Amino acid sequence: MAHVLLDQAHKYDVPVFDGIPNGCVFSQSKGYWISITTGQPMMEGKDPKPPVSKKCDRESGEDQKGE
Amino acid sequence: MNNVTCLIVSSTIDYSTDLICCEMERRGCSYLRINRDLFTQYKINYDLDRQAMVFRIEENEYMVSNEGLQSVYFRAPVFFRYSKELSLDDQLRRGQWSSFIRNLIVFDRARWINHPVATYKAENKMLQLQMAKKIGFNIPRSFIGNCLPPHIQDNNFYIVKALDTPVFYDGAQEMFTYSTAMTGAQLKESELQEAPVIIQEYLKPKIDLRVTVVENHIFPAEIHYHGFGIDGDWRKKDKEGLTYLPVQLPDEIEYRIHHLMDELGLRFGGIDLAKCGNQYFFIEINPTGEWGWLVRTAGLEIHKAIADALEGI
Repeated sequence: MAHVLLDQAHKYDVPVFDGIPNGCVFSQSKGYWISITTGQPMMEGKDPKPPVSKKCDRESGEDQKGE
Repeated sequence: MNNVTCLIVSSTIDYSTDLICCEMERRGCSYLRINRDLFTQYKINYDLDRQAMVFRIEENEYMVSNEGLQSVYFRAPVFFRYSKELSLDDQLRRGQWSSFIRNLIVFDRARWINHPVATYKAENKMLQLQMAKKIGFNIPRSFIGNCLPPHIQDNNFYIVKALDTPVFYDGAQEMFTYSTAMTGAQLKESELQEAPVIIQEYLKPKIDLRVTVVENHIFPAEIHYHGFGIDGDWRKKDKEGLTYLPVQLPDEIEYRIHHLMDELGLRFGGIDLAKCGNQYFFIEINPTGEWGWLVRTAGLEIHKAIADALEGI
């Protein structure tokens, strides 16, 4: 019998993501992603939609501790 | 050579860090963001005698010295897990770079958000709960271990959750275990012996709150699903139905939050509370908690508070 934490786990395919948001480039000197089309910071623009969510998504920190 | 006053340790996929860099740029601060996933593209050298580290990144050079560095935003893990099969090169990189970022605590004059040692301590849920209880928070009746506590009732519901972030890998699949409501009868049929768990009193009905704390600033938000409180773990709900409503906490709860932050030595924390009637229960604190989504969904200017803290305002 599987341990309760394994038995109750939500299972899903490992997300395939290369770390590069669509249509954006990371500026090392500025320290943020920039939209190629608008030249604006990705997180302050509407296009493309910045990734903001929990679990199985792209913010890290509490969900990727030790990764 | 660029002299860095604020060092931001993150990774390129931590998009909330972008908000801080945008804010620091607007303020004209001399900051440098280093990303764990790009370390092998940098050239880094620390001179122990001068207590200074030089980063060569693309065409630019940055100097981080113990004398000149004022603050560090540390958005990186303090634990090291072997959760996936790694190649030899990956094992080498992960082990040594993880140690490198921990060693950044040589910059001991800077204001850290958060200091890795404080984060390491605060990540421990038994300690959090005990400290929160001592400070005066209500906490759900809690048991931690690899067997059931006495007097478990077959028909009562309990919350089962992990002591540490429960992410597992099984072949091509990833697994995550949310906080799960189970009856006492189900628990009695479950395997617990192999690893400890947290078993808690089931709070119902409740409204979940995420309270983001940045030094003296408290940003509480209630979490609703189609306008109502949520049974069990709110993260299981589809995101479209979730709303985050900024609220005001009672003074005594704010006082306890500040007290807890002080006790844990944290400048930043994401605290989960549950409101049952007029009572607030402490659930947990996340010293590396996510917050970026609350800027957009709840209009909470957490990034500005973090920038203020980094500037020492």
